[in-house]
Amino acid sequence: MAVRRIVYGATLAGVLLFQITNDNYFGQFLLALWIALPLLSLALSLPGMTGCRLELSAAPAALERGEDGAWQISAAVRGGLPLARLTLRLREENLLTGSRESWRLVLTGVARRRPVKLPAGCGHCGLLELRVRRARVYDLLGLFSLPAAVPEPARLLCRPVPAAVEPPVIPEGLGPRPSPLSAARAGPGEDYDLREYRPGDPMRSVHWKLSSKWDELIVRERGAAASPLPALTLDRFGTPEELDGLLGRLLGLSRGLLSVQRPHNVLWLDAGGEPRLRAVSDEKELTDCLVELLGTAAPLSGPRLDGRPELIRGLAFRIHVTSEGGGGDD
Amino acid sequence: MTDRERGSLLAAAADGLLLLCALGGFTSSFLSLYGSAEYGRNAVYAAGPLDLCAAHTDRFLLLAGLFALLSLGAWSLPKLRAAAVGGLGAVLVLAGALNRTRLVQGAGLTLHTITVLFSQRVREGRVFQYDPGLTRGQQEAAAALFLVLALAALALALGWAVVRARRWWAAALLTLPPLLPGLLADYYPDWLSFLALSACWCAMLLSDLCKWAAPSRRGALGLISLACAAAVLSGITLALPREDYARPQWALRAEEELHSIVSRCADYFSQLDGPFQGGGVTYVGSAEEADLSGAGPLRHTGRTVLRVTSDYAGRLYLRGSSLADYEDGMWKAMDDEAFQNAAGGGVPPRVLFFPVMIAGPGPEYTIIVNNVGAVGSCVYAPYFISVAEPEESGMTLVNDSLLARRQGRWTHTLTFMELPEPHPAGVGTVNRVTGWSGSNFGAYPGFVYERYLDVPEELRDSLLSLCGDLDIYAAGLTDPVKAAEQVAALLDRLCEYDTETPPVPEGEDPVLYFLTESRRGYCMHFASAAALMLRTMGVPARYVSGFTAESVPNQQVDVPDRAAHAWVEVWVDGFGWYPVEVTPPAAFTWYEQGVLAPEGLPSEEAEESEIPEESDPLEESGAPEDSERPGDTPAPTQAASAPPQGQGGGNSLPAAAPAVFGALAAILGAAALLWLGQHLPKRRRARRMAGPDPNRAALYAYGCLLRMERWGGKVDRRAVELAEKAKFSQHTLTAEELAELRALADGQRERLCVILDPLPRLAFRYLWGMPKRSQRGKNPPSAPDT
Repeated sequence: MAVRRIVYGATLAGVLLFQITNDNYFGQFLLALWIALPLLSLALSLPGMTGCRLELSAAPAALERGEDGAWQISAAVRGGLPLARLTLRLREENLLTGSRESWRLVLTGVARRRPVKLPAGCGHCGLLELRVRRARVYDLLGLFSLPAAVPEPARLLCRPVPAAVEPPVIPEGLGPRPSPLSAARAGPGEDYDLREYRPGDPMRSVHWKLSSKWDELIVRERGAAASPLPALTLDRFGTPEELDGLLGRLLGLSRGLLSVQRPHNVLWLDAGGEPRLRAVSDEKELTDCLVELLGTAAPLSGPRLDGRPELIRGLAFRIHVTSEGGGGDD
Repeated sequence: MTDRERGSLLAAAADGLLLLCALGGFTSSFLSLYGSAEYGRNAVYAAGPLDLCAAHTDRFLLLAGLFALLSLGAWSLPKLRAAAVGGLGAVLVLAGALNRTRLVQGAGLTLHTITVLFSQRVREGRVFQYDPGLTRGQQEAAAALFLVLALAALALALGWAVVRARRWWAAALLTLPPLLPGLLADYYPDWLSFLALSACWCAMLLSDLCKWAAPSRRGALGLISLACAAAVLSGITLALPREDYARPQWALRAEEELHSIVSRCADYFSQLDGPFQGGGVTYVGSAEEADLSGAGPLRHTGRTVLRVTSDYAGRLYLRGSSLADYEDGMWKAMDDEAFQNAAGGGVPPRVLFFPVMIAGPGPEYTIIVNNVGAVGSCVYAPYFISVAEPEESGMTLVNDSLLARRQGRWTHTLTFMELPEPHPAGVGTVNRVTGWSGSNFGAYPGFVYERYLDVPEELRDSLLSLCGDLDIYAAGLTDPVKAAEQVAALLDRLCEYDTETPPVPEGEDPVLYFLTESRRGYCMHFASAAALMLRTMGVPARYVSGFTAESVPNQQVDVPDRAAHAWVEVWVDGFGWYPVEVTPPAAFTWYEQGVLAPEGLPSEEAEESEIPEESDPLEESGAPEDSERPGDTPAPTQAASAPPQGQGGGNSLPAAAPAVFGALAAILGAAALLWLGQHLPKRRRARRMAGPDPNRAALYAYGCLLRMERWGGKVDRRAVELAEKAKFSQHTLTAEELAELRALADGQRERLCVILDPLPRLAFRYLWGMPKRSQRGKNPPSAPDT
């Protein structure tokens, strides 16, 4: 709108010059009209400018990497007249890779809740978020503008393309995860977790046999969550391309396990090195797991699970997923 | 009826109403503007060919309505639109072809009418002469035929502009230009019609941004905008009625300031070496010609051009420059070389400006002249100034014509004496300041009799016959001043003073036309005629331009542009040039009527007003203490009115032209710079990226990417790989690789053009020359609302 303002300013200066240098009623009439027009424009536009509501959404809400996704932006305008112009500063961010892209969207003649579609950047997997950083509405002449209310951001889950992998062979004895009911029935008995000794732990909880064997103090901790489920582990860092491969393989393996009725855990370290464990027993839990995996930033390099043996030791059966295939099982 | 159909109907109604307003408003405005205005003063025919059409405006309005509906129908068709429009166009072309002769005649007559009216008010206006030799009835029929067909064509074009393109500027471009000559010449159309046309423009301008919105919304906006624009226009007309129009004071003051600024800027730039000026000019002169042929009705803005403070009471003639040669209806300054060769022979030029005066005591007056807006840049000085060294007072003499002011010097303090009787200088008559007597003129009198008696041969006989009535001519030429007074009296009897005098028809000599045909004119005409008549009688005379001022002792007087004036100087042997007023007293009635009281009359705030920065006037003037009294001769006989810049009449448009053209030139220059700033780097970049060496081209593209990084651009890994290959590999990049790198650079540029904030974006696009090629994909078109 800078151009319109400059043009208006230049023409106003011209009209003013005409009035100054000419003893002519036409000059005065023109000057009055040129001053009145923006006010008229503002008066006609003000209801629509103040009553503009924006809404963001994604269509579809989840898709696979490489598929065509779109953002939808709809505007509702109060009053019977269309809104002359709406400019939006949008920012799309991939929460996994941290890549951002901003652009400016200009809509003219906005009248009804008819969404405008923008292509979503589904080149890499991740949880995409579209946010309106700034929205401004303009009057009919495009000279005055007001800020519009910024809507809630929209999110789109861009899943990795599942790699075609054979479901791994899981040793017998690693059964399905016990249900909450069965865990409650289990009572005190053989179910316990092992962990390193921490100051304050009662001496009777020390597992002396193991401690002597491993040459460090191990304590037993009773718990119902101890599950003999197989675990898919991954080092969640790398370039976007590496992450695409990594998560694609993870998804392929996970689906492969689910297809053979094998619930499993997914274990990784977040950017701060904190372990994250998600149990996956069905597609919904897999989606939740993916949302968590894709929704936080993954650094280019980070802590490896191999550097945390205490986490790995507790796993009954581990499949370590890498971006280039392979992986090992313990 | 569905919502969609209702919306389409509403949009069609709005378009139709806009089209009717545009075409009807234009038709009525055009006919009222050119059909019934003053005609005949300067035209081939006694009455305008459009008069009959104007008398039947209602029929033309009906036709306009019919054409508007046909055009609306044709352009609104969802299918077969091209066929409908083409059919209407074909009918139009066929009708034109069948009546081609009449059509051409009608067009010529219409154009002739427009130019006649324009030239009556605008000095530079030229009449399009056209005489097909038709009777009055045939003229009117031809003009009517042309108007009908032109209206039909305009309806088709307006239909496109309103219904299809929906561009307000297209509608304005189609309807405004035919009206502009009349509007600029200060004629007014039927105001209601003009308001309707203006309301159409305003409504289209207001809905310009929404022109592609849903039909129902667009239609509603069009109708509401039209109604509101009509209300606003009516409100302006009621609040500022044309009948009560008076030029606002702020506009007058602003014009004075503007003129002053422009003059000073021009003065400043004229001092520069280089492209503006060469050779370090120190003095600037006044206008070197006065064109009588183009002199139309007088138009004044009322702005102040000089501020004068003096201890003299009465009318002062502030002389600007004199012009020597009359040729082709135009007074011209004498050639420098001719003057130096013929008259220079040892004559100190100052003698020519400080004529010999009779010795004797006489009152001496001081005057401070501040030039606040008089272009021409000569010193407007009173007669008989007593300045020993003009250069010390910031002036210099230019031939025998004018006192030029030093650049940057706007205020001059001068000492002068009252106009003496022109006694020839003999023994004992010595210039008080210079000490010269009439004998010091040297060869100059001979030069005067050689050059200041020239009269065009074709005028001589007519002027001689007029001069034959003068007693003094019959009695012999003894006193040139008396001869001049007799000429002035003859002109007063013969001709009428009229500031509304139109320009003379082409091919006519202005002086002869003034004396024999029109017999009306203003100071330019009177002074020109008197000078030529005096020359015919053998009295050396010349045309002088300047200003008159009614001086009130010790008060600042604002001299408005309408005080510009022209008079005559006659040569008195042994004395020098002597001014004579030859314009009738009617020219000065505006002083008494106080038409421009605030500017024309002495300012009440004179004592409080700023006196221009000057040293002590008496010291500067260098006036001797033992002055001799000059002869007690009264001031020039009569007074007159106002040719702007001392060149006679004219419209105010030319006076404003420098400022307007300057502003336009500045705008165009800025636009050109922006354009060049964007396109030259773009072309250079394209050339270098397509250079013969792909590796160098690739490295240049990579350099562009790196430069864009500081604006927030990203350098892709692939771009780095390609650049490294181009830099270090022994292989040459393939065409595909180069194209890939170029595409990356272009993509980044387009991205930055979109994501940058407005100001950085402007700098990026216009200062760094990174134009936005397209916004495809990231900036989709507006949402079509249905």
